Amino acid sequence: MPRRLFPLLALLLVCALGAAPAFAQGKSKSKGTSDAAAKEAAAAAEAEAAATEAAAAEQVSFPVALGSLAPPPLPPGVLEPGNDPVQVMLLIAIDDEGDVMNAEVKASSGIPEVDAAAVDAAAFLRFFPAQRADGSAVGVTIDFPFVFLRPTPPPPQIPPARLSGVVEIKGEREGLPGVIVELYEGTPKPEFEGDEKRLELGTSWELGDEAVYTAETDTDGVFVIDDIKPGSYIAAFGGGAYKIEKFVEILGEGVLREVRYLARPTGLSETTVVARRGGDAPSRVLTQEELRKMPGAGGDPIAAMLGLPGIVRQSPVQGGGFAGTNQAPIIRGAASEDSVLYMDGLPVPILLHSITNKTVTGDYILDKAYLRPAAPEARFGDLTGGVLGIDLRGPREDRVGGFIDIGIGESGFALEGPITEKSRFYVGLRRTYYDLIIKLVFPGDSRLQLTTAPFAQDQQAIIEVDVAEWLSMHLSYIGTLDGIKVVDQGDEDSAERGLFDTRTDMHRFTIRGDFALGKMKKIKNRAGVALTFWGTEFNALDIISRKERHTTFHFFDDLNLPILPWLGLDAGVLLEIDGIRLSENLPQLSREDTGPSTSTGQEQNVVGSSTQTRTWIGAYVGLPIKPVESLVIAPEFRVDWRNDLAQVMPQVRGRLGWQPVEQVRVSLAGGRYLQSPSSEELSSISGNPDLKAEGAWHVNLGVNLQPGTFLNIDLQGYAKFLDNQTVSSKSAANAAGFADLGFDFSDPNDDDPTNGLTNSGIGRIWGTELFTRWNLFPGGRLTGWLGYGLSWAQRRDFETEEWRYFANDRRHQLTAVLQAKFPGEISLGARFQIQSGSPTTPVDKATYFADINTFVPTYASLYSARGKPFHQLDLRLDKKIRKKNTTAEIFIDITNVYAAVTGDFVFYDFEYESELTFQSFPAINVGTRVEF
Amino acid sequence: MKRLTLLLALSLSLPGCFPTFPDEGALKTMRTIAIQQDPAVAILDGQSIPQVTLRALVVDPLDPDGSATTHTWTLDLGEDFEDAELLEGLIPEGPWGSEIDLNFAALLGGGAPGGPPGDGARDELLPPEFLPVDYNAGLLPVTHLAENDERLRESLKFVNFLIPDFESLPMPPTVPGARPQQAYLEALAAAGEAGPPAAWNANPNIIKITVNEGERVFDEDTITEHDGVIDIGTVEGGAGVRFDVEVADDKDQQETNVEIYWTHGVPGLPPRDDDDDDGGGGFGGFRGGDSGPDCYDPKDGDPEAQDGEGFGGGAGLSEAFEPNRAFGWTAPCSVLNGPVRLFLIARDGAGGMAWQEIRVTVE
Repeated sequence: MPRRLFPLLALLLVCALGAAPAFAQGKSKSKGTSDAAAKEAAAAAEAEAAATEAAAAEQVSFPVALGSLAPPPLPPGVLEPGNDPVQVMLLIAIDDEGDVMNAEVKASSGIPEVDAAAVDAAAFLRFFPAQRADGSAVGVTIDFPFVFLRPTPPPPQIPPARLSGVVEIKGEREGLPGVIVELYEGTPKPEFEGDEKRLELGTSWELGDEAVYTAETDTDGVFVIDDIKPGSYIAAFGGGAYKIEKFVEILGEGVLREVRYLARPTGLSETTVVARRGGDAPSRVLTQEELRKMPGAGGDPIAAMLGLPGIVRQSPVQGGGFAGTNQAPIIRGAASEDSVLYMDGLPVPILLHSITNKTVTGDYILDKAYLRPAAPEARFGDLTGGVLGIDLRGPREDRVGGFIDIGIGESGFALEGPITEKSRFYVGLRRTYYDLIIKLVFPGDSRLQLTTAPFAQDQQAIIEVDVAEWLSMHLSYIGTLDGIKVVDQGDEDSAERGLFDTRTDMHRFTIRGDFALGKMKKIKNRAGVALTFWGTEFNALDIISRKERHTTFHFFDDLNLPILPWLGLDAGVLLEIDGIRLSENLPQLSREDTGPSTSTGQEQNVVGSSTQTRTWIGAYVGLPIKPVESLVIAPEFRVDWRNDLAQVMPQVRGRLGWQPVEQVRVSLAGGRYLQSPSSEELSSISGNPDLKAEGAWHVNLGVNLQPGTFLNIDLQGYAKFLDNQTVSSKSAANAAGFADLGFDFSDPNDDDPTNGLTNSGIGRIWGTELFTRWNLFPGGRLTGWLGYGLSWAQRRDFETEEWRYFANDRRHQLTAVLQAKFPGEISLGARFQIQSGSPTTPVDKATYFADINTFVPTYASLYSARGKPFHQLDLRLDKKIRKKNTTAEIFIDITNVYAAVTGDFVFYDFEYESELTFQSFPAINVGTRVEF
Repeated sequence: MKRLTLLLALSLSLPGCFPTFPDEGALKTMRTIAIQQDPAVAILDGQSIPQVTLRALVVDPLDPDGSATTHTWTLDLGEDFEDAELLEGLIPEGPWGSEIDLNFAALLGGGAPGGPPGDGARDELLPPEFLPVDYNAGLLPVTHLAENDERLRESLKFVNFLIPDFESLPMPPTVPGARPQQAYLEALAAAGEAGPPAAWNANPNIIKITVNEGERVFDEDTITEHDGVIDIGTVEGGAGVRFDVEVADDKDQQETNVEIYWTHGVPGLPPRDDDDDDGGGGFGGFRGGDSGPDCYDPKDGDPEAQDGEGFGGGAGLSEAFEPNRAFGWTAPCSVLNGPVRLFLIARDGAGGMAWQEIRVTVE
């Protein structure tokens, strides 16, 4: 449309919308409404009356109002509320230029203020003048109405509704904080109208486009929504870590409804580093998505957690990974055997596959993975270090679903869903297929044969039954199997013999009841029994071997009882009966306290077998007190007893949490921790059955600052003092030492019943950790965290010794993670880690032992040097595709991108003159997961 | 165990790549590669002075005659060793060479080797009119230092000896010179039927060396062991030489291993022209050595190279994992000033050993 036509169009619109003018009655030149002007205008009007009448006799067009014709505003209260409009009819004189010469009330509204306002407003009207038939302008007088609308009458007073309650994790005893509960207006889907039973389900309703009310649960999982307009609503929450739940809430006038919603986890939700309760300590939280997408972790949450500050990397050469070794990581300088692994609230010997280092349950069924690096609650016993654990979620109950994983060297699947309205199932299986690949490398006619190729397998089966409203039963089987076996098939001249064989397996059966008692279901009790069959086997060259089989029975009961609004009670008991069969044919293994052993390879092995039953009873009680809303104090007491120690082990612990303002939280925790020596150390074959429990005092102080949603800063300081540590008095043999032996090499099976083991060791570990998370853009488009740890870990084995570093001492540890999201659900992440090298014991010199044609090193002071630092960069790129209930994720994960040369794989050459460093290859992992 | 486990696992799971390990058989600097006790076990029964020689094989590729190397021998007893005084004088006074004779006469009260002990023989020794029934094995640690201007090499040799087990005598004589009683005579007779003491050991003997599958053969008449050198003449640069070795020993042959050492060149053989499917399997095969444009250079990593078929490094050619009896060596491509020194050393796993030096001139 040409721009010049716009004014004309506007004019036409005003004409169409304008009030209808009265017929022309005259013209006045006067604009004002003053008396003088009015008189003058009246005179002029009379003078022109004849002309006007003449004009009236001829055809004259109506003047057209220009601009707004809206009535002027009225002072408040002038008009009573109502629906009927109020009109004032004015008589307006308009001159031949369209200006208002005079205005007066022709028909009053009956309200003087209204009439006056109309007259005042008329002075500002502007008209397109009336015209004669020949087109000339002419003044006229017209009737002009002003219509005033009365204020809308207030709606009738309807009492609002209120919805309040608590959101709890299904199967848990604690409220779920930070959940957004949304209320949507609901309309029954047409196909379900009238079907009352179906309309009890949220899925039978159409939801409004957006939530009309929202609320967030507090630290106890409680939420309140007030002033709700009565109607039909769907309460919805979830997403991410929890399934989306929808509940139908028909809220009538004045209804005050109290509800208890259960959130069903979809998988791993978070790892809480310190806190047990939301209010009593700072916590470090990584979301499920962050853990699953952690670069370099292959989608495994536990592997992802191993980069958190406080957990240092353990060289795969120095320990970890294979049968017979403790799987717990090095947590704040503690040896791995000082920390414990937990699964579903019970100690578990195997949490990671030894072949792949992935969690034995996979990530899909995980509810939580948690880490307590120091001062764990009284619930955890038999440790002086930290706790690394996982909790499994229950099967989904809304529909049948699951996942299929297809990756390089590994595949898996799971299926879960409702069986009946009150029962659910889950089955899962995962297995590597490296063996197929490796068999291509080792052809059938090869003399070297992998009769059991490296493989790792795990399987899970879970059934949950809601027996009653207050009782849910949980039956589960968790199994894992790892192994590798290499044999020399032999030839015409030699027989077949085993070269290398290692095998790890675990099968745990659990029956558990989750009780929710009391009027508000706030008394929670979890009790059950578990039977675990597990063991490790190892054989190398048919020369050294070790076989360990356990049959472990557990009974457990954990109670959470709110006594008063400000006082609770946590209590529990654990009984463990562990039947052990152990057979060994091993050289004397090196220990941290004796340093690297100097071996000629001629020493006799420690040979023997034993059968024993270890019984452990532990009980705890805690009294969380909340004197004011911002403060939680929880004194705790624990006692343990073990039959092989014949020692009652009381332990007092405590924790305090203080949140003076919303953005600041402070925590203090500490206490006494006691741990049994290992079964090897208590072994009658190679250990000392008379050893006592090892002890530690922990203290941990933390501050958490959250200036905004974009940044969270967590700073912690800790100290740990160790006592009664088991140490060996056997010194590392060296070249000169062999001469002391006179006529024979050392014989570990000497007459010393203690095998050199005593409880004379002490230690001290202290440090600080900083953990910052940021979320720089809305929608989590760029997130990340940075963790830095600074620590010292020292020990002294005997009073006559100087302090020295633990083998696990790492001075500096830094991990930085950056994750970016792009349109199309593509995300890219990077993780960089760097940490100090581990203490090493350097070689002073090497002596050539002519009889065995081997160089034997003489070592310098224990841990008097430090190895190369560890550093590594990992990348991950993934893409997610969604279609209805199905999501597919494709990822590529590259570990050790730049092939770092670190201290992980450093060996001496044959004459101990130079160090040889293995360069680690980058590892590329490509996988696909389809969830349905 | 853990280290062995993980090393094996590492080799299988390929988390990293191997650095170039130096080959233990390559003699790049002065090094002691064997110390022989001759005989491998000395019997200290008090009836004669044993003659025991310790012989160190020290090789310096830059010093073929070893004149720049000095030798030091000491008895390496711990400070707390109770009978240190008893053993004084066992090591002869210096200066020493690569070979010493242990002075057991000092231990046995004087006398000449092979002859009876002197008057100063200790009472603890078995009187001459008694024959031992059983023996206890003993070890005397002897340290050898080899030193030149650049290197100091320390080695330890356990001198193996047997002493009578006095507790095994059915009726120990209480009066020196008393006639043995009947029970003793019966035990003595039983011991005689049983043969040598269980702990007895003899050095192995290299009895045959076949060069290039029969091109040259050295047998017991021509093998000199430690007394001399076998010269197999000249080979072209890059040419391979195969050695097949036969060993005689009083022990199980499976326990006796043979290893090859070289001052120049590389382990293994160059590929055969007619061989399309040889080599490349198994472990080992670390390479090094000189190179030249006109001759085979194993550093090229030719997969057809005939090495590494068995355990024990790149020189071993035996298909059996152990013991190795066949070896390959390839001459360096560059011309050397002197001959290349090769050593075949047999070890029986119980301290007994023998060696043969072979010299090759590279054209």
